[in-house]
Amino acid sequence: MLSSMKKFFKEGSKDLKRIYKLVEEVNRLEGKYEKYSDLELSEMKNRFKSILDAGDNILDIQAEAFAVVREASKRVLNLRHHDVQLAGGFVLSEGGIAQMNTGEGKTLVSTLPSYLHALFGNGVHIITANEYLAKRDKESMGQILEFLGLTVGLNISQMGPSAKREAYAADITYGTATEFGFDYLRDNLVYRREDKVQRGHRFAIVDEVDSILIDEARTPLIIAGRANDGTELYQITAQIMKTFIEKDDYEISVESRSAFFTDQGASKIEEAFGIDNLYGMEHQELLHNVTQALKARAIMKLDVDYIVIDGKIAIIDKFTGRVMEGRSFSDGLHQAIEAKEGLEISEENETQAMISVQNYFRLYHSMSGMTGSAIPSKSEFQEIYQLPVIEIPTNEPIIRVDEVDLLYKDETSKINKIVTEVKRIHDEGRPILIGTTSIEQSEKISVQLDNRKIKHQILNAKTEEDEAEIIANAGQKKQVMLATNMAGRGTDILLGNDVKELGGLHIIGTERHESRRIDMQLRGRSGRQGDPGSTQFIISLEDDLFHYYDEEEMGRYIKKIKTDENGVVLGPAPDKFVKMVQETVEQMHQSSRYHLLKLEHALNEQSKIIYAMRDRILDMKPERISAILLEYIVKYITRLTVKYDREHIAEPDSSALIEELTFVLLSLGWQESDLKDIEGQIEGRVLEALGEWESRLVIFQDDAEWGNQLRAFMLQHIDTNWMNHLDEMNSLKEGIGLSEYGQQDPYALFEKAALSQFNLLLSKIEAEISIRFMEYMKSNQQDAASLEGEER
Amino acid sequence: MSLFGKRDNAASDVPKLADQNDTVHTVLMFHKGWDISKQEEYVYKFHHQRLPALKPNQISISGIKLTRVEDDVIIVAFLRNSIDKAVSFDIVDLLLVDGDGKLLVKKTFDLTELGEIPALSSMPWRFLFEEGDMLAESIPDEGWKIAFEMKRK
Repeated sequence: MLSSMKKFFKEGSKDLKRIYKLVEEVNRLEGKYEKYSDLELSEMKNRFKSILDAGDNILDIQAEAFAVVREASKRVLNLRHHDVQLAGGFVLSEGGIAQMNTGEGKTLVSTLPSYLHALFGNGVHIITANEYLAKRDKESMGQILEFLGLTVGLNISQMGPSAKREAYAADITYGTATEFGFDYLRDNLVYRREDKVQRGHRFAIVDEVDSILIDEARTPLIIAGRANDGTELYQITAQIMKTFIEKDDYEISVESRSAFFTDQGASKIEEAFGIDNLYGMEHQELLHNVTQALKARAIMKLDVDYIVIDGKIAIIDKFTGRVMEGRSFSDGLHQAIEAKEGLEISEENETQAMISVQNYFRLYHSMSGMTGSAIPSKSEFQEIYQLPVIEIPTNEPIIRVDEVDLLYKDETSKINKIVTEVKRIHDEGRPILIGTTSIEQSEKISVQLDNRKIKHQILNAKTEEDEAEIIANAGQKKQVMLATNMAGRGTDILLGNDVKELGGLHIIGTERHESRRIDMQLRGRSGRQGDPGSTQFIISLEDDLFHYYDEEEMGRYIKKIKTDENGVVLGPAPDKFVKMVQETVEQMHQSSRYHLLKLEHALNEQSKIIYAMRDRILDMKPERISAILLEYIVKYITRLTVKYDREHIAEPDSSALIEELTFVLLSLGWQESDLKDIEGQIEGRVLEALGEWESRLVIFQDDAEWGNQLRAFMLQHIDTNWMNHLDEMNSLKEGIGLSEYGQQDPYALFEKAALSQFNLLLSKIEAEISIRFMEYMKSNQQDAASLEGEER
Repeated sequence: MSLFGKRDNAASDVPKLADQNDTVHTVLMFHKGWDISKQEEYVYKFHHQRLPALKPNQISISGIKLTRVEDDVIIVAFLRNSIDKAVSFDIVDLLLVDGDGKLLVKKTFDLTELGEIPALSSMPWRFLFEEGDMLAESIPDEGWKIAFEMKRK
């Protein structure tokens, strides 16, 4: 044991020497804690907590804490952490990635840092590859942690919000990356603080970290709204708009290309839907719909703003007059125009919230990971996530034999060889696992095995549980199993009786994966914990991997190859060639991940700002909400006057400003001449007029219900605008072609565009909240006046 | 009293008794089991608003929408109650007739699942008429009407 540890540390890192010392310390402490009673062990939690509270560093208690967990594990599960598992635990605890082979007991490793970090009281999240594993690990490893006085929760997709809140409230929470990510997104769509389920992101331990941070890197988590519910409503509101007459029912502001309802227009809509106040808090969605319908009716002109081709709306570019292919108006305006033109209503693409898995994990104060295959991506982990990768030696030396690849010229010869090999090894009684890249490929090989009357099993399970159970049996004598590379990840294949003597599990890889890490994972399924075993890839030049490679280069190589009568490529240098192709393809994928990450950076920063805005409103006491509202109104008015000052220096056009201000001020009553005299002081005057506002809002200060309605109102306007912004950012991302920008840095251009789009978003939010609220107040004022009239 | 609250509690949610002309404007309700979006809710509100007023003490059914699913037809209709107490249904025979009163489909429905329709209220419900129930060659898109079949005593 010690010799293998020493060999490992010869690599010479200071960190590793230090970890080695810590492992020794844990070993020295073993005798001390063996003498502790169960109760004393569980009470150590409080001892450690008070040490941390006193301001000591977590590093000061690492070894002690690990020794406590090890002792608990011995008592509860009869499992004693090996030295290498302790070493892995230290790597995780300090925020690194521990590369540990399959079968080394990664799950047990995670108990060490999770206990330690849970002492902070802010929660530890343990991320597993699937929900079955989350459940399994929670039930097994959770026992150790519970024995030590901690609470353990399980977060899975079928749970309701209150169960989830409970799971997150636990010291340690098990679950999948997607579930954690979706919870984060959902939390940022709630209207009340108490509806959130998560309580921060302190420390995460990610199992199979390469699969999550690298392989899943290009899959974003998206919450999308129910898209097509609005179809009929668009048709109804379009019909209503057809009966509306300018001046009577609505008015148009040419300056701002907007239209708004007159009181009569609003009453007609209220009458049509049997509602009381179109501008009421609860009818914002309808208001939005009819506003877009009005805009479609009164502002958007056929053959000027858009044309109809083949029953579809196409946008006309204002500057070039050309049709903008594939673009659509956002925010339901497209659908409103379709309804106006009597066309089929297209689906609304409504993204409500979005985050990539890696950006989710960047939220954590610190994180760590485990996997059997991190080394090939060491630099990517370091550069993008600042996660160092440390290879932990195996507990027992690996005696598995990895044979050289056999490269065939075509698929037929490849499959022939696979079947022959299976037959030969099967006859010896050894179990064989054939790793394929798809279920389809598994079936192809299965047919050939049937022809040779070799009994086998295809792993094509419906559930993760079934999958784990079946693959766990792959190590039994004479077993032949076909499985995709990813199947049953996280489940050990245990060898049956006598199998060791026969030579252990043999693995046949039928294709080289685009990433060497996945190949490593497949190989790692054999030869666990010092067991014998062997692996070999039997591949062909027709495999998918080679399709990604440059066609001409590929052609040149194929021209040169020499094969034997069975189709094996003998030269030139098949090993070198395969390695080169694999590295090239891997490099390609890596650059595209970097590309995406750079594009996502801006949106990620923007989400944080918007979510912080939401949180501020969520956290505000009801009586303070109107203060935030006023802030938004002031910001909006300031923006208006600044814009006015800037745009109209040469020829002042105060009517435009007055028009826009009437939307947000109760009773302005200004004439153009009023503004002429006070140039430069407009903002002051306007803010003064706003003072009237504050006094009106004071009345509501003690009304909690009113405050909560106002809160929901503001959040709703932030959300709808943010969702539109997400869609616009998506088209912006799609529009960024790397080649088109000549000498300019496309990322800098993108960031610039993203920033101006974001500024637009902020001003839209401020404007919408201000104007909608004012409409509401005005409608109430009139209503109150008319009520008073009736009473008299 | 709150400003927002004041508007919220206003007349539309409170049943109105028969007015001077002796007609009843029912209040729109949705079945507890219906999971509909806000947009759909407005669509129902709109259709409900256009229904003719009822005379007091009536039970009536008004179809608002016909959807075809292959050869079957789904009718969305409001069940309306202008009696000043709640009513509930069990087994009901429904007919579809065309503009000339010609019988198109007849089917028996078990409406126990629907529960109670409160006093002076309307509730939308979906009715599936299958191909096998059809008495006519086809059902027109326009001009159809849904009705209760009156049992002869």
